Amino acid sequence: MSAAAAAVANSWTLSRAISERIARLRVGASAIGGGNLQYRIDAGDGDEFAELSRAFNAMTERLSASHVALESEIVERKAAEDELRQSEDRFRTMANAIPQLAWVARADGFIYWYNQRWYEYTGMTAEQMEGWGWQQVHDPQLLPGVLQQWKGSIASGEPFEMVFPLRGGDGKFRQFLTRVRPLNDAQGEVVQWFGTNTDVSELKRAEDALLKLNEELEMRVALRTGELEETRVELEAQNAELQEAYRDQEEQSAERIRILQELRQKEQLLLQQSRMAAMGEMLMNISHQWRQPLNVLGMEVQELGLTYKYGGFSEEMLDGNIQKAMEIIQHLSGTIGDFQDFLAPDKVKAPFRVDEVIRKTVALMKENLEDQGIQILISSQGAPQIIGYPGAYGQVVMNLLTNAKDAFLERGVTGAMITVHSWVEKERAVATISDNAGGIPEEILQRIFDAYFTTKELGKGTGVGLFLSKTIIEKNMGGRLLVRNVGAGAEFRIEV
Amino acid sequence: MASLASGVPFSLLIVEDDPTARTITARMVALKFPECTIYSAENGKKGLQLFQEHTPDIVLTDINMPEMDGIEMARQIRLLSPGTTYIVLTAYGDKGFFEQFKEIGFCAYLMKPVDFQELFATIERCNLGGKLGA
Repeated sequence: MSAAAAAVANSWTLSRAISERIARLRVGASAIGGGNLQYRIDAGDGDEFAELSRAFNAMTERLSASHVALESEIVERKAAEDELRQSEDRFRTMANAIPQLAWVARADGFIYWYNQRWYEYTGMTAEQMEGWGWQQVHDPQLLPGVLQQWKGSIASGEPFEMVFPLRGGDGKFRQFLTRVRPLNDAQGEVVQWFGTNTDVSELKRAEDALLKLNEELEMRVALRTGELEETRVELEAQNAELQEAYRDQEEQSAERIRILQELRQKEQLLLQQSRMAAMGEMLMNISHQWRQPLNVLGMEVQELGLTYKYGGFSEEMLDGNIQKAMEIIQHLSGTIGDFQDFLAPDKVKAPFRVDEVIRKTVALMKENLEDQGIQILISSQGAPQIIGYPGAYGQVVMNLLTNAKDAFLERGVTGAMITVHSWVEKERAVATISDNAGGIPEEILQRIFDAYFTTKELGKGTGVGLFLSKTIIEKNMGGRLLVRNVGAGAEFRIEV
Repeated sequence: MASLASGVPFSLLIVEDDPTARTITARMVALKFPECTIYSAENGKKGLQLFQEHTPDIVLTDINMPEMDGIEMARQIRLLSPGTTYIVLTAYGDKGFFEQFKEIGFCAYLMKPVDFQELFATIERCNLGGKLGA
């Protein structure tokens, strides 16, 4: 300084020219240094100053260009930094907005950021949670498993997924589904881990409830199945019972049918027997009717031979005897017809005269009765006519007459007499057959029409005659057959 | 048989309810036995009456007849004349009648229809027997 001052002092003139150019350099340097990179120094020509100022200006030129590039780069970087900040803000805003717990960890697993929900849920502070502090909110029992899997993912770089409970600020554990995804760089190395914990307790509860419901349902189904099985077994038992009952019923029915068949067979047998008895009776009537005429016929024929042999034979006698023989033969032939008519079954109902049928029936029996010393009287009034079966009606009359005859013979009644009377009463044909054989004991009076009831000796009565007679009159012809004791005997009344 | 060896007269009572049979029988017996006196009755009652009147050697009777049957008549005749010869001529093989008559006693029990040759032989046999027995 002192050298310069000495120089200045020494040569002011000289110094004036130099100092003025230095001043210019100084002003220029100051301006450029102040940031005006457009400033250029003018230090005249031809000397070291000019050289200096040129070099100075060139340097300023380069500086100016570099400054411009730098400034543009700064602007760019700033924009990029803004962009990043904004992106990060967006991420955090978004991560805070989601209902899940979320966090970000370094590649080594150190968690350096949690979202708002995490703190809200756990009731913990950032300091407590940073790094591996999260283990505090885990169930100590389950933590080892969680750690093992998490460390495995960190080592392999594979995503992590697991459900485990996390303790809330209220001290209660809730189930969370935890998913962690790695962020990889261009080389595939893990840069960061992004994790979310989703509360699945509701889901789990729902699942549990569903499970429980399912179990319950299954139980109920099992129960119902059991009940159904029981019902089925019961029904099967009932079915078996019913089948058993049905079989029993069938057996009973078969038994009943068998009994009925037996009864029918018995009935058939008795009917057969009674028919045989009636035929026998008929044969007896025939024999009584025929013996006398046959005897006479034989005599008429023999007379011819005997007179021819012993004398007295004549043509007149021959003609007379032949005529008598023929009369007898005609009579016998006629009685065959009567018996045939009597025995022929009636095919259809037809109108007939009751007194006529009685007369014919009595005619068939007359010889028989008279041979037994029984008188028979017939009378009728008003031509009683009905619609029915004349043959069957005649059989009833014959049955009643035969019963009377048997009673007479059994009791040895003298002066035996049967009275048959028929008439019309209230548009009905009534016939009574009365005898004087002593009547029927009152105690059996109502039983005589029962099937198989008989008072006759063993082998003589079937007990079917009166039963059949009642059936014929009441069932087949809609009439009535009654009995009562009158005077010295019994009176049967046929009303049709 | 055309002629009787003895030709001894005898009497016979015919008791028969059928008029034709009675008439022819009487006629035939008379033809065969001209030496026989014949009485005819239409029932037991009439027969008994005739027997009481004529006391015939032989009684030829039917059983079944009105008024009084042959058995009853024979019983009553037996009381009057125990040695009377009976020839029964009936249409019925009734065992009861046969037994009852057997008790009274008969020479022959013939069945209707009558065979006159058989009847004649019986009359001859019974007439002889009766005569021998008497």
